[in-house]
Amino acid sequence: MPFSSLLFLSVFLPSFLLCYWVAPRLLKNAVALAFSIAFYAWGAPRLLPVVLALGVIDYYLGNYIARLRDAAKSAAEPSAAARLERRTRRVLTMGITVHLSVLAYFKYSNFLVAETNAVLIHLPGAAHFTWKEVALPIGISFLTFEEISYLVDVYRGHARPARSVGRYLLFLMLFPHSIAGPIFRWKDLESQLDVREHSLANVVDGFGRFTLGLAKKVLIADAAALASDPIFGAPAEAIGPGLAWLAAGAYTLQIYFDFSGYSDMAIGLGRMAGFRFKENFNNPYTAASITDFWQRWHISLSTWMRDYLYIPLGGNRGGERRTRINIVIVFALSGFWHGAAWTFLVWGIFHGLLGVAERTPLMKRVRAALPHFVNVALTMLFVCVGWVFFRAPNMPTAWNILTAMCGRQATNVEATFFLRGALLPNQSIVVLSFALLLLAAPALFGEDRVRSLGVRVRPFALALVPFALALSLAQLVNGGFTPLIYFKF
Amino acid sequence: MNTEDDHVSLRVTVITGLRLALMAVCLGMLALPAVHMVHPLFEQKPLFGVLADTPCPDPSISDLSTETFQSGFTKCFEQRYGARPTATRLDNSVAYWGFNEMPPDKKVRVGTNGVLFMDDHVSFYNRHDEPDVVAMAAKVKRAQELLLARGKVFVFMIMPTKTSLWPDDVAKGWRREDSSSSRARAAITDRYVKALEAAGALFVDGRKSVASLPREAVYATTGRHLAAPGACAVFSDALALARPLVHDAEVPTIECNFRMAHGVSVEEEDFDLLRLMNIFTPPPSNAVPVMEPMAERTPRERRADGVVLGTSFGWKIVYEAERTHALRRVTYYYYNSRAIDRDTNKDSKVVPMSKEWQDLVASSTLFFYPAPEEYLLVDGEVFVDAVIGVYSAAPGAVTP
Repeated sequence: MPFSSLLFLSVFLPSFLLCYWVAPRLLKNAVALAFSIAFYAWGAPRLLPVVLALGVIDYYLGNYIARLRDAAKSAAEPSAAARLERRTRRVLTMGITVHLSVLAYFKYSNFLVAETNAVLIHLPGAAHFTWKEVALPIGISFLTFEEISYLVDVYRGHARPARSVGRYLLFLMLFPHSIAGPIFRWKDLESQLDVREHSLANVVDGFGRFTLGLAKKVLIADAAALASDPIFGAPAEAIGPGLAWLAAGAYTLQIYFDFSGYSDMAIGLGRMAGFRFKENFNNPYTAASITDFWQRWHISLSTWMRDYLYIPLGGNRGGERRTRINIVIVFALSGFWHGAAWTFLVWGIFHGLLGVAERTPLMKRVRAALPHFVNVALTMLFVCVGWVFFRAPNMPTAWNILTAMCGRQATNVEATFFLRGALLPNQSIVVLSFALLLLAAPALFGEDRVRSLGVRVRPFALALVPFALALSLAQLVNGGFTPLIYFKF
Repeated sequence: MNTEDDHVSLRVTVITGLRLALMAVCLGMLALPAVHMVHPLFEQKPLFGVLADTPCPDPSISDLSTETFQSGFTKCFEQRYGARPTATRLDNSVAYWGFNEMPPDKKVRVGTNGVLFMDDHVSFYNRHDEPDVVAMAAKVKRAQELLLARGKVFVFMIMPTKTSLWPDDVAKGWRREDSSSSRARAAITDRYVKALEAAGALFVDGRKSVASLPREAVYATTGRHLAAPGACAVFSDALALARPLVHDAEVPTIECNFRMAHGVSVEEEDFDLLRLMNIFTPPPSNAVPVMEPMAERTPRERRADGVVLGTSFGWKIVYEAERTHALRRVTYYYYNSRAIDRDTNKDSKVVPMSKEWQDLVASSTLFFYPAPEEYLLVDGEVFVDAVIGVYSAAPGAVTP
């Protein structure tokens, strides 16, 4: 039940808000948990028992790890402390293995079997695997990372273990974030499970933020999809340079407004219930380097990757060569986390190599010599090229789009015509131009000025909320539903 | 309490009130459509156009666990969404009034100068295939011969399409960039006309029939089908062709007098595309043709029975046949599947070549097939093939 579905907007959300506001303070967590379980049960009923079971296991593992760690700390004998430390690490490893195994089974087994069979088919006499396709449950990637971060943080002593299974399950399944992030950390949310501010101001601000996200998704991202989807689905001979650049550019807008819109909705929903979630985006398309981009894009994922993968791999402590390898590994795995396909892996490696290139002395000198806006433009260019891999359903399609971007002409005039005819109505052109202006404003006028302007106009912007909501609902009803991009991750 | 405190208190009260009002409006917008589905709260004008009915599933544990129920329920909910008519009209109105277009997946298109088209009109504008016109013309001729041998007259009518008359109002973005389409567009009908002439077929080139009419009398800017004067002109030519071939009945001449009128009800056919746009529609301002009544010229019993074949484009011919009293009994053989007796309004299922179909053919003298240009060589073969199939295969199987 995506947030931009009529069922969520008209039934689930009003019911939740009503029950949550009416419930006494002591029962608010219970109401939130009940609705979260119902939300998850509706969208992924077969995974619900798995998630609940993993939640219970995590709860006990977390507490066990904390007890072992405390025992190791207070052990008088160094050998006993070391033994307990090893045991704690084994328990942690076991927990992480369980979560990664669940992720591997649900998310990667189809891909691995298919790729293995694709190789076996070329080997004479080799039998191929028979395999029943596993359905990908929504939110599994996000849940896995949150569960791992919980165990690791407890192990590191950065977080206390959950006091009750219910509290841990609420952290894990809280519906605003459970299916497409942002990726929460227990240590950030734990205190809010006890104390958070319930006020009308929060509700109004949260609803405004939610509507902003809905409008970004429905009015802007879906308009961009009108251009990108047909071109990415078209045969290679229909696509020339113009259409290829249009597809890449439109998708660059689409994914930002789709995913940041979703994050806005999640943050807004949380706010209505008194939670304060961390921001997940910070003007990513004004980044002046790929490194900068990843500090602004899907921040909860990039910080997770940094804290739970890059640093454990050694980070930048093992010399320049080791650092570069670590960067590529992290980006490759980050890409593969997004989806079980070569395109995601290539996208991740592409970003990893760009990140490595930026660290070279030559590139540092070049970047320093270039004006800021040129660095921003170049970063955008590389990000845009990268999105082609991310969006393309397979590598041949990505290759077709990229070669067309490099100048390969269309050869089928008729196919090109019908593709062109289907693209970009006037409304989308106006909406996307406005979206481009929004994106470029921080780079053109300065992020601080734009931010302070945003704060000043916010009270007046709230008056626009009903209009944005009405237009979004109207488009949802009339245009049909399009799923959020990050739902498939 | 001093004045400053009063101001602060007032300010807080006002802000709280505004916040509450904002939330009430927004939550109302979200929840009322769902409530309306259970307990109707407000009146809404229904939408025009057909919406396929989605049944609502019954819940079961197995369907819930496989998510079949969820997806079925979601579709059912969205189709029955309480504010669907209003929301659809709002979205379409924004696109139309704000951007002079319709949302992308709609079949109605807004051309230049406010002329409305359907997707099919535009597809014909860009049509550039080269179907076998000679073979089809030969089949039409053959069917006509077979019927004529049984005392029946089958007139093929090429009905001009909207983009033939209003090509300049096809928006530039919809046009093929290469020149092949304009050549093909002219060529496909011309080639077919030549092939029909060469075959000696009985046909009306409707483009010539309407050539002397103002174009608003042939197609309303807001209409999908030929307007009445255009249909009347083509039908008049078809009757003229049939007249000398009918011996046991009279085929009268007809009048196609009309006047252009403002203030005609939006429910009239010439506004069907405007209605299909489903916008918050103001009263139509464009003038549309209104036919003058025509007195009966030939007594009913001396007139011939006739069948109009075809799709929705045939309705205007049916209406003109009735207005002009040109036929005794009019049957509309709709989409080669239903026979509608206009006298009794009896609507029967009639499968081509079946006993009922053969009875229908046997009981009528005149057959009119109005074929719109956009469906030339796409549509209409069913009747022609059926005639050839029945009367060639078993000559004498049906006694005329």
